[in-house]
Amino acid sequence: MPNNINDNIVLSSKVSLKRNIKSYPFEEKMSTAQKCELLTNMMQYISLRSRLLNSKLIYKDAALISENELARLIEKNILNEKNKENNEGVGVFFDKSENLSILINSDSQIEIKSNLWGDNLKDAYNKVVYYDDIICAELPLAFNDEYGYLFSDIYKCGTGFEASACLHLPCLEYTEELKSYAENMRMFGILIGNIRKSDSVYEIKNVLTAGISEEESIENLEKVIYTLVNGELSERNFLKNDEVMTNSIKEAVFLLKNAMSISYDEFLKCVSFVRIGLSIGLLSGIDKYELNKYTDSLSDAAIKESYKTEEVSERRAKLVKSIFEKVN
Amino acid sequence: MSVKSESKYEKDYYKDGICPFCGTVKEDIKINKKTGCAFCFEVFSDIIEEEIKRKLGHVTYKGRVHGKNQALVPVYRNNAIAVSSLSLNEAKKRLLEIAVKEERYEDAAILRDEIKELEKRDKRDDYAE
Repeated sequence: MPNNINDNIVLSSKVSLKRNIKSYPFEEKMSTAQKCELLTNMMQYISLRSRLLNSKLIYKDAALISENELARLIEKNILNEKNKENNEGVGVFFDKSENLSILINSDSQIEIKSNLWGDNLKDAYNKVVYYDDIICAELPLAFNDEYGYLFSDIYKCGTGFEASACLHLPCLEYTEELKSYAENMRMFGILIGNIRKSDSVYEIKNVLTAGISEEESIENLEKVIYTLVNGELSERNFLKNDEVMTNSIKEAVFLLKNAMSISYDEFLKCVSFVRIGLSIGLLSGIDKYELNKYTDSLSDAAIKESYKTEEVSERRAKLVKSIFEKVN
Repeated sequence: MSVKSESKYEKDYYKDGICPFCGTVKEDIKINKKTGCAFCFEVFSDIIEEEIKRKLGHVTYKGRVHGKNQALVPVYRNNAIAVSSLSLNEAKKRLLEIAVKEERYEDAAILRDEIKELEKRDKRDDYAE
């Protein structure tokens, strides 16, 4: 369990390494037959290396899974949004914890991804690198000494490395300070994007892959995260006595405890206020790490899959009621 | 491996500004900034270099390189016959399903024979054990 102070603000860390194979055309020029051939080859290739990998990998074919499971795997960042359509020849391997996945034939031919809770960019990077060493060691990768790993978009050639962190920044958003942070960060090749409007969760992501090493990218990102976390904490301290904020927190808890039906967006919005309440000491009775677990397990796709029901909002309200009963 | 040392037939493609491997033409690179395969970077090296320099300045690659930081490779070689969670047979069955779906019956017939052959071999191995 992570015990960093940032964990209440840094919700998750994601890292991915993309690779293409020299002997196949890039994704956009690949035929379905070529994709299926590569996928089958990769299935054999990865299974041959399975003893070296820490955990046994589960395989799912994007074209053969149910719509609901597809949605759940996209929510978990195991599959990409674009895999909803044209997913023939797209397959994914992932470990039981769903923290690590190897996606074949999506944005690139091989994409090794790691998602970890909290402020864990370095751990996620180490995990991805370990798999990269085992899986890509002997593959004929599309690589050029001058540009690095090669991709269809010429400006994306380089490390093929992407790192991002999801930060809960409601107070910086509320005071509109976030805009000025975003402008300054763009100069360092780091973008801030709002991934969910409902609960003020922002994704901080590196976009530069040329002329910068993977470690340098992580260092830059960590510096930015540190600055944002400090900014958010000082705003939270300042807003501690703000009447509008404290009322909103109380309203959110009331709604979570008493709603008969609650949509996922509403739920996330309320959880966002609960997080602030816990952080400023106004609320207690629930562990902040538990909240991360619930934001995943109470999504539409997850409820449909676990409870086999179409009345998702009603079921969510019941579950939420029992979880937040102890919050006061 | 240098593509530029290939046959005369392929050299003609260079002259025409077409990638012999994926059919990408130089306009794709100039207008869309998109390549089609790794060989495009050799075929259109001048255009790509110019475009990258224009947008990103002079950049030198500084990241990981495969084969140079591979402490694990020798370990893999010692364990080459690893336990497989997906057998070759399963992989071929998957290909067969796709071939039938796409109505490529000739490929499907070849795959079906290969699967039968593999199954026979597995049975022989079981018997030998």
